[in-house]
Order: sequence, then structure tokens, then C-alpha cells
Amino acid sequence: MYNYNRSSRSNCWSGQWTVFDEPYRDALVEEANTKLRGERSSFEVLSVLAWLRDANEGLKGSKELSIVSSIETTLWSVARMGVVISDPGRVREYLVIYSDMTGMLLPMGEALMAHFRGEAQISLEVFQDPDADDEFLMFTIRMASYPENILDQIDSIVSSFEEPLSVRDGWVLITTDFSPPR
Amino acid sequence: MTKAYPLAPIEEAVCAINLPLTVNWDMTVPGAFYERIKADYPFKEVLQGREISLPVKPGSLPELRGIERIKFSSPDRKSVVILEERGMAISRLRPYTSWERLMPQIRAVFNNLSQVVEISSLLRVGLRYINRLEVPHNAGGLEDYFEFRPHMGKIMTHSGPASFMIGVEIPYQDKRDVCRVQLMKTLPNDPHNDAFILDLDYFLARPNALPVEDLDDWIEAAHGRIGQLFEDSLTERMKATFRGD
Repeated sequence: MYNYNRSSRSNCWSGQWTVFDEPYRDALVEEANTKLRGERSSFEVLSVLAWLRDANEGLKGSKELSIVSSIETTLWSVARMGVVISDPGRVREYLVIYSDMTGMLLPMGEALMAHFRGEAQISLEVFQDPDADDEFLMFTIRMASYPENILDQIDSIVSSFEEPLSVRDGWVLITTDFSPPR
Repeated sequence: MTKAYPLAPIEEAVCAINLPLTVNWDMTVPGAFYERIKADYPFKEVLQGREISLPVKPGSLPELRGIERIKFSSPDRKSVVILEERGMAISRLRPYTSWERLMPQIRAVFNNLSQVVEISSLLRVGLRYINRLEVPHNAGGLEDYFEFRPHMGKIMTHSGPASFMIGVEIPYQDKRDVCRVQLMKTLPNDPHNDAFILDLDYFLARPNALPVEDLDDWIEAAHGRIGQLFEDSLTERMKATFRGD
């Protein structure tokens, strides 16, 4: 029997199927009662409570500790919201190295899609800086016609992510090349 | 896995171990642990994140809390240890080498953690293999490649799903252990292909049900069963794509 719950983290396709084993829960409660009946000191009672808390944590399901799982969930979600990822393989390779950037892509993609409301094509790729031995992720905004203040608009979006980006090893640039959508 | 494939589609093999709240964990643990593993995992990186727990019970509020993990990587960045409070994971990313190389790494990392934390029981243990499989677009139906696949009605089959995600849980050891098998579409590296994730996650479903001294045997058994389910999930035509024939 399955219980589809969303108690695990949001950036997780897995860890959501939990065996909903009611007899097992009942057995746990019974075992705890038995332990409590036999234990009288406060230390022993606390031990039983800690054991019960652990059992409850275990029933909630696992935490996401897979690097690939987080990357795949994120890329799928970003692509699904309409962001064009023309070379997912390179983005995957980048995120394997700079795992702390994975969590940035979804909020940044959402912010861009919400701001431009379908009037721009947003693409995500890995940019190799030709002048330096460096590479980073890049969201590129392309529009059929550009408003005069497009760079100010981009700056305002970038500013809301500067703080979380500053504590990470990787980087994401938001920019435009003033080209029409491809 | 039961067979070693020259072009194995494994993106990540990860063994995750969570410890119960009764285990004493303090701020000195990550530093002491790093001292023990830094010869093999010299690169360290702090991963900041936030975790949202959505309520299981109606009426409960979602919780948002900061989480901090430390990622230790090998020189080639493909072998990774992630440490968090009362939890750790040992990963091998593509290119996967072999079980004969991974198992000793898992054992060594766990032994090193045992040297800095007194581990008397295990809350949860999991061994997971995540495979990414790519096949040419329109080169056949799902039934040509997958024994484990969605079964759909005529309309859905005719339209062809843009994406899907299916999962089953197979119990073992009188439901003490479970292997969760999931298949879903993903983004292909090659635009001419369709890509799929086959995720095999074998875990201890009953918390604290595994004595620490049985951990090695449990992991070996988990590996064997994952291998059986991997073989069981795919057709020979799919296996031929990474057999190197």
C-alpha cells in the first residue's frame, strides 16, 4: 500500500513514495508503551521517547542525498516552465562540479519567466569564457523587440539573487545578446 | 549490479546512511571527519540550502528551515562524500568504475565516521543506482526497451505521453527493506534521442532495524537485489545498447 506524500524536500522527484504500513505504526506504539510500562526513571523514559521520535522520522521517508537526482529534477522543472536548454549534457556536467548552483536554477528561472510573461525566450547554457579559463551558467533573454530599459530590468532581477550567489562556488549570469528568439 | 557492462548507464551510485537522534553529534564532527578522509577527498565545499517540509497531516503548516551540508570530493570530483547532521552519503558519479571499488570506499568512509562519532544504531540505510538511458527517437516503442513501463489505454498510447513517471516498491526481508523502482523521462543529451531515468533505491524501511555490525552484509545484499531488478526492468534490446556488442 502506498501513501503518496510530499513531506520531503521540494527539489526531489523521489523520496515521495512511502510505505504506509499501518500495522507497523501500531506495532511501534505498542512497543513504546511496553517500554514505558517497564521504565520508571526519567532517563529511561527520555530514551524511549527518543526511540519513538527516530521511528517517526524514519516513517517520513528519506532525505535527498543524491547529486544526480537533484540535478535531474531541477533541469526537468526548469525546462518544463519553458526555459530552453539546448545542451543539457553540459549543464549536467557543470552542476555535478558546482552542486550548490543546482538550487539556484529553479528560483532564477521562475523569476525570469514571471517577469517577462512569455514575451521573451529564456535559454540556459554553460558559457565558456574565451578570455579566461572559466565557465559559468548563463540565462540568456531574447525578445522580438527590446524595451529601452531592458538592462535595468535584468539588473533588478539579478540584484535579488546576488546575496545567495555570493556564497556559492559557481556562478549564473543573466544577460541578453539583443538577438531575436531562436 | 549482477553483470558488469562496459558502457554501464549509471549516472550515480550512492549509499546514504542516517543516524538516529540518540547519536551524539556536535560541531567538531565535520572537522574531525575531514581530517580522516582528506587524503582521498581533498576538496571540500559547503552546500547551503533550504528545506521545505510540506505537511503530512491536514491542518499542519509547512516548515522552512536552513540546511547545511559539506561536500568532500576526490581529485577527479567523481567520488563524493556528503556530510550533514547525523547523515552522510558516499557517491560515485559517472564514469562508474565497479562495485569492487565502490564497496571498500563505502566501508572506509563509514569506518572513518565511526572513529569520530559513536554509532550504536542506524536510522536508515539506502543504496541507490540512478541510470540514464538514451535511445534514438522514434526507434521503437517503450515495450522494445523496457520490461518495466507504463501500461496505457489506446488514446494515451496513440498520443504518446510527453512525459511520465512510474514507480513501484518491492518489499524484502518481511518488509524490513524496500526497493523503490522508478522510471521517468528526462532531457536527452543528444537532441535526436529520448532519454529515461531508471532509479533503483533499496533502503531500510524500518528505522533502527539493522544492527551496525550487519551493515556490510546488508549493503552487499542490497547491491545484489538492485542488480536483479535492473536486469528485470530492461529488454535485451536496451541492454545491447550498453553491452558494447
